[in-house]
Amino acid sequence: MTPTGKTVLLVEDNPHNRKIFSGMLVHSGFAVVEAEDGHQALAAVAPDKPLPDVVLMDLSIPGVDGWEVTRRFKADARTKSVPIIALTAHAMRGDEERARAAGCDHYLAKPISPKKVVEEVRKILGMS
Amino acid sequence: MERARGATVSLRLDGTPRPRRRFRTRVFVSLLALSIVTGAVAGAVFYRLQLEFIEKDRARRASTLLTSLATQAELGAYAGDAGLCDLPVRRTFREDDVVMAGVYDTGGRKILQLSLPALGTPPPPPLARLTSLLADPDAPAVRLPADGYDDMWAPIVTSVRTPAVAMSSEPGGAAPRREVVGLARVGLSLVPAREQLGEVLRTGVYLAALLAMLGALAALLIARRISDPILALAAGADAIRAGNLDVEIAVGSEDEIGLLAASFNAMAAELRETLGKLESLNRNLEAEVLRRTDEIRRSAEFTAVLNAAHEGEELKRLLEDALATLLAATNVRAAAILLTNEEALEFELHFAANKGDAPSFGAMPSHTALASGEPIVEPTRAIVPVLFRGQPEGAIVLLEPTREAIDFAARAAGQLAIAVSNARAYNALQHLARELTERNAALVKQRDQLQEMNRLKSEFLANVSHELRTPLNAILGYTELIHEGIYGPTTGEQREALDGVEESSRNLLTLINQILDLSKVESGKVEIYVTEVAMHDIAQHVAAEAQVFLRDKALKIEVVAASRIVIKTDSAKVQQIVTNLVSNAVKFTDKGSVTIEVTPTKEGGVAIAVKDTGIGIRREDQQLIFEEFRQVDGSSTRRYSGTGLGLAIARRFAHLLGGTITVESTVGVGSTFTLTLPPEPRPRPPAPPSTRQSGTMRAVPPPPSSPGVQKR
Repeated sequence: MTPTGKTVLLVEDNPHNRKIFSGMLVHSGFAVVEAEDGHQALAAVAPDKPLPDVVLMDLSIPGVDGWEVTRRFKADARTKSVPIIALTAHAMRGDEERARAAGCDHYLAKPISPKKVVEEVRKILGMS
Repeated sequence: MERARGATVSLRLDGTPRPRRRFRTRVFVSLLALSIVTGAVAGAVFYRLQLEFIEKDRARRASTLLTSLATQAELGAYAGDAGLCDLPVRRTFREDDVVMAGVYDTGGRKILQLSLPALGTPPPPPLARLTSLLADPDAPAVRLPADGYDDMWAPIVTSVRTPAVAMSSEPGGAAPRREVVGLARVGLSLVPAREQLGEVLRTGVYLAALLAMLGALAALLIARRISDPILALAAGADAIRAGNLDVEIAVGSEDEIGLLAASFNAMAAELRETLGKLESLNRNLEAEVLRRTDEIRRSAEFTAVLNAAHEGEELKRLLEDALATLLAATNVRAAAILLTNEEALEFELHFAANKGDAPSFGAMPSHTALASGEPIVEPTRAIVPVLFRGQPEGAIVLLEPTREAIDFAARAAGQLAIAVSNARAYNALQHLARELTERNAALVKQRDQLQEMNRLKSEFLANVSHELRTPLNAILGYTELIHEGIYGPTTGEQREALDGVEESSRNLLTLINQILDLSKVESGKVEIYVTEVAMHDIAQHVAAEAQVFLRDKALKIEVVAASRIVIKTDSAKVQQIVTNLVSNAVKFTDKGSVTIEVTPTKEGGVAIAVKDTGIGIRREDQQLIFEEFRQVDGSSTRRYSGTGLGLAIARRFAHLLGGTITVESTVGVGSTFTLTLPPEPRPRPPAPPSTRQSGTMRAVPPPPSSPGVQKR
């Protein structure tokens, strides 16, 4: 597929899921920066790094959890405008509310079709 | 009564002396004033008397001097010869107190006069004042005041014998005619008299002073004499007032004060005696009070022991204490308490206490013998009935009792009856309370355990949900990616296998969701979001989604909707219910059709019927299929995949929305499941036990991108 020129920060601790979403995104023409945990996610948006266009955020991750990473992103003037999509297996009642309270702009519950994820990303970036 | 001692009396005298001294002072001052006045009066009287005496003395002296001079100067005056007068005048003038002496003729002419030079020239004779002297030979001397002396005048008389006159006037003899021939003059100095007067005055003053002093002394003595007894009396009265009845007022006189003191003494004695009687009476009273107090105390102890029953004392303990108190309070050798047995017909010896050897209390009394309530007094023992509400509840047996002991026991019996009754009731009540408390505690524990289990379950479910969804995401994701050819081209066989993976995974996901739904319904955590929902749309949507279930089955899904029906309900829940019904219909139908029929109800709601041409359900199984994990028989479980949760959840959701799900079926012909919903959700009456339903209703719009809500 043709490159979109857009970068996605994929925060996901499960290697399989990381590989699946990453594969589908790359296949769809996105550049993907992967982070296995909260610390890597925070490091990925360090001042010397280019900002991603969108963040796919797993919430239950080691180190600093996804909710906290989201809060820090939204508290930082540099990163606060980057849209964050919660991509989580926390699909019980109240989980979406918790994710949005932390600062997530969108919410997708696992399991989810990788194609659907790409669709959502495109929609958010105004590409579809 | 406290009695003041002698010391206290004197102390009181010393302590409050002022009023008494003032009284004494007043007496003294009064008497002193009186004596001063007396002295002064006496002095004045003395002076006055002395003054008169001096006056008279002076007059006498003047008279003597004048008479003497007149007599001696008779001849000289008669002759008018100064020489003849010289001796008498000089003799007179020589007297100490004479400052002037002289002889004058009847014409007032001086014949001879001598005077002290200090006098100067004496005044001429005042003839006008002296005429009386010239006219009357017997006239008294005339005294004329002068400076520093008395100017005294007297006639000089001579006797002239005239026979004719004598014979005619005095027949008895020839009486001489007396004739004034001159005037004698004497100046009598006032100095001696004045000196004498000063002396007298001094003496008078001394006298007055002496008298006053004597009077003062007397006043002092009298004051003392009057005040001391009164003070003694006052002190005595005070002492009596202060309670010292042993005081003896000694006045030492037989007068009125003495009498008064005697009266006081008598009164004190009377009081003393009365007090003594009172004290004796008091002592008796005190002894009586002590005796009664002790009695009351013993009785109170007994009552306290009995009252303890209210506070949960065991009956045994109560009776032991009661007996101990009874023994302590009376002088019986031994005592026992009998209580009725369970049947309340016979007595049993419950407790005995004694002083010394263990005694025999003899035979048990009969129940009826005690019914009168009167104590049975036998030679060696007494049996006091314990009646409660007229029924003999027990008895107190006393060995070798006194009358007093029997009385005490009789008084105690009433209290004992109540106490025993209370204790028995209390024991029963306490037993009951204990049981209730234990049961309560067990229930509370059970409830807490259930709550904790519920919490753990919710936590566990959340974890299970998360931990199952994560690998499922990977399985479904890989399947999709391979299917898409991202990892290279796939053969038809491989894609078929991937479909199997996907279907199995979706079934697994359905199971997970259903389990979670069920657990949420059971724990009352399901919330419904009410909006206006078009039923036709729901039916169409479900029918479209259900196409994937058909696979290669020779089945068609149809929607029959007479009109557009809109009700207020939770669209996601309705969709879930209908999807479940349709998937079931597809599952158990191999050929024919599945029809979704939407019709309005009379109540303004909707009925969605899902009809199939499948295997059907036996009548006896038609209710069982709504139970959790239940499919109608073992064989079907094997033949048809499924969790057996779908219908159970569907019915519960229907109830939450105020609706019902009913089933009609004929084996071999088909089944019709009908969801009936009201125009808007309403609470339903309690569901049957197998379908315990709960949940809260909330009329709020669904969240903007709620995953359960499908876009239409």
